[in-house]
Amino acid sequence: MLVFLLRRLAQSVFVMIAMMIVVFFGVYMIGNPVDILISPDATPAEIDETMARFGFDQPVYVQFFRFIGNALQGDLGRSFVHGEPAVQLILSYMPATLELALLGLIFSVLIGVPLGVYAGYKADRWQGRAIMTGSIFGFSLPNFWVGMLLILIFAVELQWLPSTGRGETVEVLGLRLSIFTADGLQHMLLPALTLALYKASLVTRLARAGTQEALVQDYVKFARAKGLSETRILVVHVLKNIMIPIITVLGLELGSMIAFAVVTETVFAWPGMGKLLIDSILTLDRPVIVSYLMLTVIIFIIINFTVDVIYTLLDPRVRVKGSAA
Amino acid sequence: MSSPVIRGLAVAALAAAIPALPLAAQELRIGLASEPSSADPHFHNLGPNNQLRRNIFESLVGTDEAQQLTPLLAESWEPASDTSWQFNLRTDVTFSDGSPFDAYDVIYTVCRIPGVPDSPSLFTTYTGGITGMEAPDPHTLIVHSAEPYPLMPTEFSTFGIISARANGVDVSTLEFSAEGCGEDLPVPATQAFNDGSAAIGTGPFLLESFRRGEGIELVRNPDYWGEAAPWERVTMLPLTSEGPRVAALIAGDVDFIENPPLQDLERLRADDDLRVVQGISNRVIYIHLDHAQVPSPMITGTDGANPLQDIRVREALTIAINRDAIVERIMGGVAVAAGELLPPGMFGAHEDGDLPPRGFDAERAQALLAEAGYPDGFGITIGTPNDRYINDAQVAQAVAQMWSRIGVATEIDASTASTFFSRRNAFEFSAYLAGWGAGTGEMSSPLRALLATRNSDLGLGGTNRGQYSNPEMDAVLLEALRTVDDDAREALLRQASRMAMDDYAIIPLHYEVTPWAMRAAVDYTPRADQYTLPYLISSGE
Amino acid sequence: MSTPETTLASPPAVPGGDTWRRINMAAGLAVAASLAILLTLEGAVLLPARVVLLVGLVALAAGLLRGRARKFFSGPSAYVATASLLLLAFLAIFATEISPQNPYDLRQLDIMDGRQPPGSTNFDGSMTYHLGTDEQGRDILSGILYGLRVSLSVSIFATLAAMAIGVVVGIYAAWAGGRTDAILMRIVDFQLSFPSILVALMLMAAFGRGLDKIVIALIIVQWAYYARTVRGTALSETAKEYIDAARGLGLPARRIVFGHLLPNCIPPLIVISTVQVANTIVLESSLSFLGVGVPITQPSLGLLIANGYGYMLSGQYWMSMYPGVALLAIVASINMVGDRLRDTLNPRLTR
Repeated sequence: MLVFLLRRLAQSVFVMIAMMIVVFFGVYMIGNPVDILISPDATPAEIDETMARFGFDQPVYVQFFRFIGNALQGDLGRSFVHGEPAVQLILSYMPATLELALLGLIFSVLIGVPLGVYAGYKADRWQGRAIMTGSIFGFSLPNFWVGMLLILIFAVELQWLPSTGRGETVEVLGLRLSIFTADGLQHMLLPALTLALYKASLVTRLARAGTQEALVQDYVKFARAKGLSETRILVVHVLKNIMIPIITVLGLELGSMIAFAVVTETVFAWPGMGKLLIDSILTLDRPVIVSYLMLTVIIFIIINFTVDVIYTLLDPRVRVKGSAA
Repeated sequence: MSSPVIRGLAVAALAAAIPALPLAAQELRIGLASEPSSADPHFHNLGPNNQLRRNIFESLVGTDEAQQLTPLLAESWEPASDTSWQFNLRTDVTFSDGSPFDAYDVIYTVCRIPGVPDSPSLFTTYTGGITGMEAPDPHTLIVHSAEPYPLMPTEFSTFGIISARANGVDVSTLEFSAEGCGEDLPVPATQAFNDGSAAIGTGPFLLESFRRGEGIELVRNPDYWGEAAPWERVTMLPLTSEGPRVAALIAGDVDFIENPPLQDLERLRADDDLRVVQGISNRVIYIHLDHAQVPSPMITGTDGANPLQDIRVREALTIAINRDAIVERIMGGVAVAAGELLPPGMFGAHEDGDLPPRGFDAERAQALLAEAGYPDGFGITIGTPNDRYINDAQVAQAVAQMWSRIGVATEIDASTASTFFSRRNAFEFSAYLAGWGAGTGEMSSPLRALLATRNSDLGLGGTNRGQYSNPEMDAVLLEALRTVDDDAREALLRQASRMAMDDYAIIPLHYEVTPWAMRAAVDYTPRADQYTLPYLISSGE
Repeated sequence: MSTPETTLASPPAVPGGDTWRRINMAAGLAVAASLAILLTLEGAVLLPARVVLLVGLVALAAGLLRGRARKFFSGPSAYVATASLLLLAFLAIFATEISPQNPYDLRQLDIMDGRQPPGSTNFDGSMTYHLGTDEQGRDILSGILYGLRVSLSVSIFATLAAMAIGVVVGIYAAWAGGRTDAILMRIVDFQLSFPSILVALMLMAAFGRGLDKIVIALIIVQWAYYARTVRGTALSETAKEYIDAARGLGLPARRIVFGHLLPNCIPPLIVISTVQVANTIVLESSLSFLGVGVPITQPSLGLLIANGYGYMLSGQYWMSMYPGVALLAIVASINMVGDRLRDTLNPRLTR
């Protein structure tokens, strides 16, 4: 296991380096941040001076090697927009995103798995079909649209929940979090639901498909023959056997919920990383984008690693070959 | 379903049971359309930052709703010689840490401005022309420049003053030099402003907290020298998405929002609990044409010629546009058709009706095109940002419709500001839509930036990406920039503007009108500079 | 999806003779080719390509259902879903002929007709806007028909291409294992950590704007997703005894992979891919929402929704609601047909 972990870490370093290179040149290609950031009143001389201050007057490879040189010393640069170290900036946005993603994940599992198993159990009955048809709504409408609709219904018309923002926060282990206050939790409900909707419907469908297949398997027949209750069959035997695809997909979705909850966070003015990323991309804040995506690589690698481990736990016969993957 | 969901529902039910709380007395919550990048007043010369700065750090000279100069930290000012200005400072002002305000703080501020580390846009634009500063007595400041500098008082309205003493400066040794005031001058880091430790100003509010993405909290400055701010506490939340910002106001989560989208104004006005105010801004939306490149990059069907160099074609494109229709249909009536680059009533602009918007005349436009040798028109692409100005891409599309109808087949190339401005600055467009807000509130600003012949040494034509050049107009403009007498300068600026408009140098479309929406219990006077300043939001009590 | 009890029972081979397989392959190629043609021409009128597309789609569907039609059409909902999918596909393919207006031709639009509610007419009364107009005076009905075409072709093409790449990479990684698996999966990790808006912006900066760039962006964004999913399933399949048995029998790798591994990885993939076609349309609309989607003068369904989104509070509901309903209809029918198909084709439900 340790070798497995170490090897994975070594590979990850390569992925991060690749990310650094691609993003650096990619963002360079999109445009020049000074064109967006500098006041229109600035004189050409000031524009040149600002370019020089950030080193943009140098050829791109010089800029790149300077960046690499600093990166090797652990300095990923300062945000062009905020003037703060990029990593520090990203970390300051992280708690808000993590708690939102976590709640979103919980919602999607709690909504998706029971509905899906039930729909699979009643596959050819109206209940099953109704759930399947209903789940279509979950993934066929754009996030921004759903978010706005939820705001219109629950904040504007019914006035049950706050429309935007983070609400009251408390310090827990040095992190400022909303999830532990009633006010904060209220603020989280709508964005978390918006995030979870697509995932939940995906989980519903996967769970249904798995359940449907599992129910015709011999072991279920055996279990029934032994006189086990249907609930017990569903919860113990079926559930365990349908988890692999669900966990794979949820792993992917968790990563994207953490890293790319761009639209939801924008609509709900949730001060998370996704919003930082989109703002940084739109202002071409290169140090932030590069650091952010390197961090994203780490997040995805951790998640994928965890998912691989869960595979082997759920199904001991899955040999991740050569223990290299 | 299991417990967390049920708990969530319980919370929701609980929330429903509590009636919407009335507006907490003395507290104002504002939904911002864009977020400041820093609380450091000199870090980034950017609208949202300057707006925040005015609450905490005051400048020597103030500006009113129409951007006319008003006394602020300076009670008065007058030219001391051809090349210097004298500012007479208030004597009753202290910073929020108790240190007194005097001329040394101004000198210290101007000393700090060029050296702010990692700044993406310095304020040297406004201080670069200063060659010397002296304080004959603590409350008199003399500022020297190399050339006559009529705009000096205007420049001193653009940046906030920080305290020299609070930052540990021995003012007796402080000496201004245009080359730098000494390496060992202690200056606060940008970070110190963001965490509040260096946020020491003379303004009506104190910075309580600055949290990126989450909001900014201001509290009333109890020792403010002027009229106390009407709010004990102000929270500014960055609600950058339009619809949710409006929803937050309707739902009662905020009391005041910036820039409600035009299409929602009708609904907001119909609501008795809400109030909408609007006022003309200093920003003109224009289309700039490529005057220089042959062939021009995005023109087709002309055998390599650049038709935009022909004044008849430029006139045709100008009068093919039905500005009233754009204002009415795309801008929902919340804009004013433009005849030049600054709206009437501002310094250097023509009086209302003296230089009206060009009338719409499609037939004459077609005749002009034929006369210029393009009876069948040509093809052109308009470049436009799609996330920068109010309805920018929609306006460009409307112009494309109108140009297409006189035979000029027009395409739209809409991109985010992040790519648009770089491409524009690389002269990739034959025609592009953009906007110009006159930060100084007078005509030299747009003329100098958009239409003067490009010249790095003189700092002219910085945003003239159509590369228009008219030496006669340049001469009049330069003359105006040297004229200290206000009346003479205004006449020259008007003359220069008329020369450019008569040459169809640029196509002004409309002036943006800035709306604000709020609960009926508060009120705000619209400002041409588009700033939202909480100390001017009245509580209506 | 592994089950301890599935022992040596290898899945039944897909029935159907060589002729049908060839026809299917030809139809698939024709569909892909005509989609490609339509995409590169960006909405140009090319009747033959569109007729080929329709015929190809029908042939493909017929091939899939051969011998299983009765199971597929086992309830009324199957008929409804199939009919509405066919209808919507027909509308999309022949949008040019059906639409009252060409919503992509700026000369046919007039902002004076902008934001008209459903049922109003234009100024000379020559045309009725049954579903209203957007702020440019674009007939929403025509916009939906054209937008349907753009959205459908973009999403189907992008999904198919992404899926093809993903399946190949995923199965190869699981089959080969070891270093190959590691390298491929790290590429997948790399791709997954790359935001779609950045891909779109970079492509646009490098190659300019256009429908084809959006398609490429969507493929780049999505293939890794399939690769990862397929590898997961394939890993659990390769661990099963029947594969070991097949290996023990000395069957060539090609036959094991294509004959046994691939068919077993397909069912979960169909679930994901029908969802994913919808998701691709939605993703494209999110890109439009962020300002990096299809060209604004040639709106897709997603762009219409994103544009109309700004009018949700103001009571001009028709601008985003009708395109939204159209999106729901197409997504619902694709998915209902997809669900039926999955149930029909899944070898593991046949016992």
